Amino acid sequence: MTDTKAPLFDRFASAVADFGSPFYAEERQRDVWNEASAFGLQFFLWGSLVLSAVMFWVGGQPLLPWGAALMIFASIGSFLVLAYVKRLGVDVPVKGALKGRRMLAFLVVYLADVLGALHAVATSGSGSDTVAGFFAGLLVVAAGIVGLLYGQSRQRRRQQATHPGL
Amino acid sequence: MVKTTAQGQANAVRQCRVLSGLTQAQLADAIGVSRQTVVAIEAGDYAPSVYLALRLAAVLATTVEALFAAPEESPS
Repeated sequence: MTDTKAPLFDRFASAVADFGSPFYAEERQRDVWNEASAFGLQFFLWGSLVLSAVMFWVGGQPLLPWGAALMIFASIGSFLVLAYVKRLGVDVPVKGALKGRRMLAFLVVYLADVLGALHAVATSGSGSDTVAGFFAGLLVVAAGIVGLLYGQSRQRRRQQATHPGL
Repeated sequence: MVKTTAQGQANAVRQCRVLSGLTQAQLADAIGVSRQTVVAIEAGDYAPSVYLALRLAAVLATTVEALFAAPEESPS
């Protein structure tokens, strides 16, 4: 059942995920389902990034809008996950979620996407400045994320040096 | 074994259930979970919530502490 007094986002999440289902009442069933959902979501997100990169590099300009749509759709999914956990008071440190090899893999796939899209625009002959600008913007966003992570890391190291107990 | 987010550990649930003369299916019915969940708890593959642990203890006429001993602290 949906609580009509709940915020719209919560009602939307409940309707999409069917949180009222009796299936969720059995706790191990729920835990296993949640883990399976996390696996499926990660597969979808990584698969979307890889597939869109393949579309840009192999399909070229004709597949550019489809690849971009796939990336945007995957980004919306990620945003909804982060918004949901944030609403329930869980902070997901970006560096904690993506670190080591996962971070490297993400940057490689992300760069393959952005450079592939720029390559598709450049080789199409009828280059669209808007599309090129969009993907160049994504490149800047990637650089910004790396800079942000580096800044957070430096700040944390500095705090730990000043207050070793933290 | 696959690492899940709710890993349990060795416990006395099976021992207490056998002493109570219950089957896994009967225990599952009594505490409102599936038989697979009872199997997973007994095997130490799943750590039940505090509420489920309390129901387990009540049905098996024992305490949560007797069923699930606190893990020994590992030296850090």
